[in-house]
Amino acid sequence: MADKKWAMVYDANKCIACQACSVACRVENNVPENLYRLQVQMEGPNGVYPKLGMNFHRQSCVMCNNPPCVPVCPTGASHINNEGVTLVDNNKCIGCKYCIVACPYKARFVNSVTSAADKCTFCWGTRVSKGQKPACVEQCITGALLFGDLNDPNSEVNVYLRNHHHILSKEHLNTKPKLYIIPSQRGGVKA
Amino acid sequence: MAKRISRRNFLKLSGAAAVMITVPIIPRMSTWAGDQPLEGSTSFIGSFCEICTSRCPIQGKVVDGRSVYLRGNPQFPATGGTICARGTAGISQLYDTSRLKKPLIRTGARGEGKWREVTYDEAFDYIAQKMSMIKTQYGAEAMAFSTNKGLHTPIFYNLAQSYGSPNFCNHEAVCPLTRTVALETTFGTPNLAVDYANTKYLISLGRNYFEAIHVSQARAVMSAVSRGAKLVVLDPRYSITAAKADEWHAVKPGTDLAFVLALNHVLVRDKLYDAAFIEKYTTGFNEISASLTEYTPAWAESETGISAVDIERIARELAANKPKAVVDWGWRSTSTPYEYDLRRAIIITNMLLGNLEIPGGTFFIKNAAFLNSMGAGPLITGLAMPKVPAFPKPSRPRIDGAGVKGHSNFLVPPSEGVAQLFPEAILTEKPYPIKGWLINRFNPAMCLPDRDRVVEAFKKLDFIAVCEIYMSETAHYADVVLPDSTYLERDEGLFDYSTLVPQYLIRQQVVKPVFDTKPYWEIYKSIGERLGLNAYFPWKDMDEFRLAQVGGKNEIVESVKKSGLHTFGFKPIYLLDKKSVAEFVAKMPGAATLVTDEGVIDLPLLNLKTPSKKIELVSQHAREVDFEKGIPQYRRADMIQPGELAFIQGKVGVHTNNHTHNIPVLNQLMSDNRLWIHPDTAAKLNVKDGDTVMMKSKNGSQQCKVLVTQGIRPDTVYSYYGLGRFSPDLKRTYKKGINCNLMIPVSVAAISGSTLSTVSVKLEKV
Amino acid sequence: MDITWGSQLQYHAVYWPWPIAIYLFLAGLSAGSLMVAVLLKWLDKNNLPPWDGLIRAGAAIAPITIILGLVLLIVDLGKPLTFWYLMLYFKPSSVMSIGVWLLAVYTPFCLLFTMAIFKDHFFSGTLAGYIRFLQPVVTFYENNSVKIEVFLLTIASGVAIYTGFLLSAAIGLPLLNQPILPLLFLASGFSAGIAANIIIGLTVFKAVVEPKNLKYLLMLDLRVIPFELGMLFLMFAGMHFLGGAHALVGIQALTEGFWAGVFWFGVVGIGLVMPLIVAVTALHGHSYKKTTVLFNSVILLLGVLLLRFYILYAGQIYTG
Repeated sequence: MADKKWAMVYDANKCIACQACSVACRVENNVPENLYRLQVQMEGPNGVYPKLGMNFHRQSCVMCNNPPCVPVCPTGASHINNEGVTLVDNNKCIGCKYCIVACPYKARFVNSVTSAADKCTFCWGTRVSKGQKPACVEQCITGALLFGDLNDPNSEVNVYLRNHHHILSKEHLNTKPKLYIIPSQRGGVKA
Repeated sequence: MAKRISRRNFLKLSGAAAVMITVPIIPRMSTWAGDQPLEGSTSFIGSFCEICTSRCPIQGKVVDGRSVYLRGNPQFPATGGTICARGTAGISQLYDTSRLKKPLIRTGARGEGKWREVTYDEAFDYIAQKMSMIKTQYGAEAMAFSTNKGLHTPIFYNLAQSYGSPNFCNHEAVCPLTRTVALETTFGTPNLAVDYANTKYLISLGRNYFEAIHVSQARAVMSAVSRGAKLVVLDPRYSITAAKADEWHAVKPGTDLAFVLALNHVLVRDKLYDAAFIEKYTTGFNEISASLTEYTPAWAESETGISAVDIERIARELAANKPKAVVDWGWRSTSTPYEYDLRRAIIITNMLLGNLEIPGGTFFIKNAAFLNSMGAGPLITGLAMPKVPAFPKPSRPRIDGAGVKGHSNFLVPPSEGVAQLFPEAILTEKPYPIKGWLINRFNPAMCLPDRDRVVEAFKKLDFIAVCEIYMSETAHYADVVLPDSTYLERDEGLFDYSTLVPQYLIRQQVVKPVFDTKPYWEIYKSIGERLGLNAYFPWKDMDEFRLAQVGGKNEIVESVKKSGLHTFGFKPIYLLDKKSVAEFVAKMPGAATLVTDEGVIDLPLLNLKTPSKKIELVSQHAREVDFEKGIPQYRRADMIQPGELAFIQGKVGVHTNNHTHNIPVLNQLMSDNRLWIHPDTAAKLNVKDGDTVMMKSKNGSQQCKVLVTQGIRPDTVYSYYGLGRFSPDLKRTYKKGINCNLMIPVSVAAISGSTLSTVSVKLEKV
Repeated sequence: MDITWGSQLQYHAVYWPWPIAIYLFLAGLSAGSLMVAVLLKWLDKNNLPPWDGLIRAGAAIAPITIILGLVLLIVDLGKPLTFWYLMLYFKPSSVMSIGVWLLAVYTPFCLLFTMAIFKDHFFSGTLAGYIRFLQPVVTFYENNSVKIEVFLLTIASGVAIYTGFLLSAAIGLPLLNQPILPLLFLASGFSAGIAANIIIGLTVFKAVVEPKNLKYLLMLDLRVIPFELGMLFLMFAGMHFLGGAHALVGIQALTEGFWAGVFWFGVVGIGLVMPLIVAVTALHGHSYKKTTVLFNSVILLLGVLLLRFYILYAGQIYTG
C-alpha cells in the first residue's frame, strides 16, 4: 500500500472569499494576530461594464511535492514527510528565513510568537495525521475545498480532478504543487 | 487566582495536552487562547450562534481551561457542520477585553463618555426608579422599548408589556419588514421561505447570498448552481453573488419593480403561468391580469435599463423551469418607497409559477403551529412563552401605529413596529412625548436613518438604559449601561428553527462568563421584579423557562440539550409533492384523511388567515388601508435628484451590520471601506482610485476614499454597510470607513413601514 | 473590491533586510581584502617581511569584517541564540549550510594569515601568553606559505561566490535567481578588497606602502570595474531575453521607484562610472594625489555596498 500523498483542491467557482477558512485556520493553528497562514483574496471586477468577472485566489502554501523551501534549510527544520506534507520543526528552526525567501508562492512568514518560519501544514499534526480533514476544508461553507489522497484513485480529490479542468500555480518552476486549482470560469477579462 | 502562564509556556503545555487528548475519538483541535482561565463544559455542548441573525447551530467546548473550540453542529445537515468566518470568530468576541465588563452609570453629560462602575443591583435600582418615575409622571406609554429580533425578544417585550407600554419594537423596519408585511397580506402569515437547494432557476433582486451570508442558504444556492441551476442576479453593483451568477443585470436602483411586473406581464400574456394552481389556490387573478397590461418588457427596458429581449427571455426561462423556478422575495426590503408593491409583485410571480409547496420552489414553514392547524393527528409540541397574567391595557395607542386601526401603519405587526418613528416621537412629541428608552442588543445610532437626528433624540430623553456587549454608539449616549453576557456565556431557552420540518435549537452556556456579566434574561427579570412585575417572570432560571416553553414536556428539553437540535423525525414536507406527502403520512398516519385524490394535501392552502382564506393576489387587507395598494403598481421612485447619484449599501461576509467591527479577528480582516464609483463618475470628478471625495446628501456629508471600479453603474455609488463607527470606546474601528445612515433621511414606506436605504448624493473632489 | 481578507504586509515584507545586505558586503569585502593581500604578497619582492602596508591592511580588514558580518547574521536570525544549530548539520542542498561551513574554515584561516602578518604584535605583549600554543601553527604556515595561500585564495573566492549562489536559490524572485550573481559578487568583492586595502593602507599603514604596489592595485581595479559593468549589462540583457517574469522584473528594477534610483545613481554612477573616470583621468600616469586615490576608493566601496543593498532589496521587492 503506497504512502499517502495528500492534496487539496480549491474550486474558485465555489469560493466566495467569505474567509471562514482563514479564521478556522487561525483558530486551529494559533496563528498570531495580523499574520495569516491562509487568506482568500479577490481580484476584480475585471472586464468592461457590464461584462464583468471576479477572480478568487487562495493564498497559502501549495504543498509542493518538489518543494524549494526544503533543500535550502540549513538545519533540516523545513522538511517534507512521507505523506507529502512540508512542515517546519520549530525546535530546529533558527529563523534564518531562507525558506521564506525561497518560496515562490509567498506562503511562509515568521511566526511572531515562536520566531520560527510558519506556513500552512494541511493541519497535519492536529488533524490529518489523525484521519481528519484540515480545518479550512471542514469549515468551507460552500464546499469549495476538497482534501484527499492522490495515490487513491477513488479519493474525492481524484474524482473531482478527473471531472474538472484544473491548473497548478507556477507549474513552470517544477515545484509540483499539490494544491489543485479549479479556475473560475467567471473570472472576467482583464482590460 | 491561578498563576498566569506566558503564551510560550501555554503553547508548550497545550502541545503536551494535545498528545493526551488525542486518545479519544474526537480529534484534538488546538484552539485559540485568550489570556484568562476559562471554565465550562469540556465536552461538546450544542448551541447556536448570535453573531448574526442567521443563528446557525454550533457546538462548543472549553479546551484545557484556556480556549474555546467552536464548530458548526454536524447534526444539522443544512450547514453541514460549518460556520462562517464571523461565527468562527465568536471566540474573538468572547475574549475581547474592550467588551463591557461592569454596569456603568453616567457621571458627565450625556455622550461625554464619563462613567462610574456600579453593581448590577445599583444599576437595576436606578433603572427601576427611573422607569417608575416616567410611569407616574407621563404614563407607561412614555417608555419605549427596542431590541433586535431574536430569542431574547419575547422576554424583553414581556417586560415592556407588563410595565404597560405599547411602544416596543425590533429592528425589522430597517431590514425585512416589507417582506414580512407583503407575505402576511398575501398568505395570512409571514412564515414562508425559499427552497434553494432544489431549485433549477433562481432570480435574485439584490439578495446577496454570498456576502450577506446565511450559511445554509449560501450552501444551498451554491449547491443548486453547481448542479446546473441557473442564477440570474439584478443588482446595481457587481456583488460576489453577481460574480457567481449566470447573468448579472445592473438594474437601475429603485426600478426592480418594473422588471418584475414585466415578467408577470409576459407570464400572463403568453399564458405561461400555472393556470390550475392560480385557479385553485388564489383569488384576484383577473384584476392582476388587467393591471399588467401596461407593464410591457419594452416599457420595463426604459425604466430599468435591462433589455426587453432579455426580460422576455428570462420570463420564458422561468416558465420553462416551473415549478422549480423562483424569484426570491428577498431579505432586506428597503430599496424604494414602493417596496410593498415590489415584494407583492414578486410573490405574485412565484404564484404564477405555481411553485408553492414543491421542491425547488417556495414553502410554508412547517412549525408546530402550522402542522397542528392541519388537524393531522397528534399535536407537535410548540414553543410558547410561560403563562403570565394578562398584560395591563395601555391607555394610549402605539406611537408608530403598528396594528392600530385607522393608522397608515396598521398592517405592520405590533411585534415588529416601526423603529425609525421612535426618535421622531421623541423629538416631535407627537402623538405624545416619549421620555425614556430601554434598548437591548440594538444600536439605533448606527442602524436607524439620519444618524444625527437619532443622537438628537437621545439627548432629549429623560432616561436611556442600554443592555449590550460593547460600548456601542447607542450605549455611549446612555445613562445606564448593562453588560450582557455573550451568547457563548449564557443559557437561554429553546428557539424555533423550523423550515421544511419542525425543529428546535437551544442556547446553552459553553463557557462561564469571562467578565462580571449577567445574561439579559436575568437583567430583565431583576428589573421587572423591582417594578413589582414578579408575576410576569414566574420562572427563576432558564431550566424553568425552558420547561414552561414546552408545556412541561421535559423529554424535549433533554433531547435538544443533548444534541443541540431537536427534530421530530420528519423528512422535508412539501404539501403539493406526492412523494413528500406519502412520507409525511407514513410518519403521521392521521394525515391520511387530508390527502386528496391527486395525492397532495392542500387543505392548509385553502384555509389561510386571509379574508378569502386563499392566497390573495389582490390583497384585501392592503386595500382596507389604501385601496391603491391592493394591486402592485409601478410608480417612478424619484429618489434621486437630477445630476446626482444613487447611494446604495450592502453587507459583507466578514462583518455583521453594525455589530462586529471591533472584534479583533474580524477587524483585522476588514477595518475600512471605500466608496465604489464608476470610471465615468471618477472622470467627471477628476479623481482616481484611492482619492478622497466629499459625499453630500440633504442629511449629512462625509469624506470617503473612492474605489474606482467597473462593478457599479455610472449613476450609482456603493459602499459596504456598517462602518463609520463613532463610539470612541471602540478603539479598533473608531472613525474608520463610511457611515451610511449619516446620509439617509427618515422615511416610512407606505403600508409596510420600512426605511429607505437608497439616497441621492453628490460628490466633490477634496 | 474592498479588502476583506486582512493585511497583506507579510507578502510584501523584505525578509532579508539591511543586516543581510551589510553582511553580503562584509563577506565579499573580507574575501576580497584577503585575496588582494595574498596576490600582493605574491608579487616580486613582496614575499618577505616587513610586509607592505597594503598587505597589512588586508590582513587587518579580512578577519574584522568577517566577524562583524557573522555577528550581523546571528542578530538577524529569528532565534539568535540558536545560531550554533547550524554547526550541528551539514545540508549540501542548502547554500547557506555550505556557506556556514565554508566560513567555519575560512575564518580561522583568515585569522592565521593575520597572525602571520602581524606576528610580532600577536606574539609579544599581553596577548602572547594565551596564544603561545598557536606559534607552531604560524610557523607551519610560514614554511608552507604558497600552498596555504593557494588554499586561502580558493576559500576566499568561495566565500565571495557563495553569497551570490545563496540568493540564486530564490526561484520565485527573478532578480535574485540569476546565474551571473556569484561571478558579479566575486568581482565586486574583489574590487571592494582593493579599495578597502588602499584606504586602510594609505591611512593606518601609510609609512610602509610602496608606490609600485599601489599602482598594481589601481591597475587591477581598472580591469575589474569594466568587467563588473559588463556583467551587469549581461544580467539585465539576459533578463530581457528570458522574457516572462524576468523581463518584467528587469524593467521594474531598472525604472521603478527608489531602488532604480539607487542602482543608476549609486551602484553605477558613484560606484562604477565615477571611479572609472577618475582612474582614467586623474590617476593616469605616475603622479597622483593621495586624496584622489582615497576619494576614489571610498566611492568605489560605497558602490559595492549599494550593489548589495540594491540586489537584495530590489530582488525581494520587484517580483513581476
